[in-house]
Amino acid sequence: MIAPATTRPARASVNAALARAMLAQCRFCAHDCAANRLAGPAGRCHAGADTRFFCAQVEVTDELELIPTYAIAFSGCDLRCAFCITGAESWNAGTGESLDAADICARATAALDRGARTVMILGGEPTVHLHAALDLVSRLPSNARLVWKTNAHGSRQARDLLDGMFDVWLADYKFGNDTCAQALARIPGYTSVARENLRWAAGHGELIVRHLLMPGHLECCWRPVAEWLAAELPGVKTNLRDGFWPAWQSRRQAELRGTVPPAESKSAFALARQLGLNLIP
Amino acid sequence: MTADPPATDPPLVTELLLLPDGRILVQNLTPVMAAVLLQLNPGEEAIRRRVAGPQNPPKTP
Repeated sequence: MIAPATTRPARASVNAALARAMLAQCRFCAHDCAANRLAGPAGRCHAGADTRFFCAQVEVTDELELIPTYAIAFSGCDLRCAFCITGAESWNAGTGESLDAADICARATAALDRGARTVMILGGEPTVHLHAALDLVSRLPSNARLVWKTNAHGSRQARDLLDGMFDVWLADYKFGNDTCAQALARIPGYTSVARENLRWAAGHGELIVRHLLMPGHLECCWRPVAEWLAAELPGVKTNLRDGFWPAWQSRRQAELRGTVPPAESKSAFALARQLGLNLIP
Repeated sequence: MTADPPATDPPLVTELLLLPDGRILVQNLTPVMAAVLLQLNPGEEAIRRRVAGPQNPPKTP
């Protein structure tokens, strides 16, 4: 008889093995490609079974309650956001360095010993590399505070494997409607998927929702996002970020060729206060 | 739990976008670069809170 895995690292090890086997018919994200990624790069993310990363270092960019964090950014993503700040690495799972789990976990553990408060796994989109992310969890100290930074486009299958693996879900709610999601990131049916993920995360641990304010998208994107959060997830920690920068292929969209005008930023924060959102820095 | 730090660390990376109106947008801000930016602009509260504060006491190497 096999004893049940009780510690987080032990459960992560089991889930990592399951996730790797599931790559034969990958359904980690809501695109539901069912591609065989064990055979090579495939599916909407164009990722295979090998995981690469393009950045791993201590950072202080994120929410104050999470920093300093040791951030590990996997290459590849299932979305195609025109304004992606790491577009070259996120759109191409083949960029960066091959992941050496033992080495990166040694670096992360050393960073924790030196004062980092959390370890954050992000991308790109880490859901694409769920098997590798879970493998990292299995190797990190069981008492480490782990952050799952996600685009909230994962599937139920992915959520089942992630249950109990991370202390904090730092999840994007990027678009306020399906039209903008399709136009800016080529995502069909975005709203229902994002909301499903956010609801689940709120009920399975600590959730922080992020929204990157985009120029010209105050009314069509931020307002619906803010109103939904106020109504459906009252009190949820929300980080409204107004530091949009016209990166990658932003020029494809006329309104994304600049930064957020100060007046628009001011209105966005005023709306958040009016709705009583729990804004965090 | 203590681990020996790896022998060689990869180079740190921070990206900055300097705007015509004087604002600076930052991506992948490292503690070292945060300290540099704070020296350049000691009045910038957003950076100050990321260098040291009640939730983020200064780290010893």
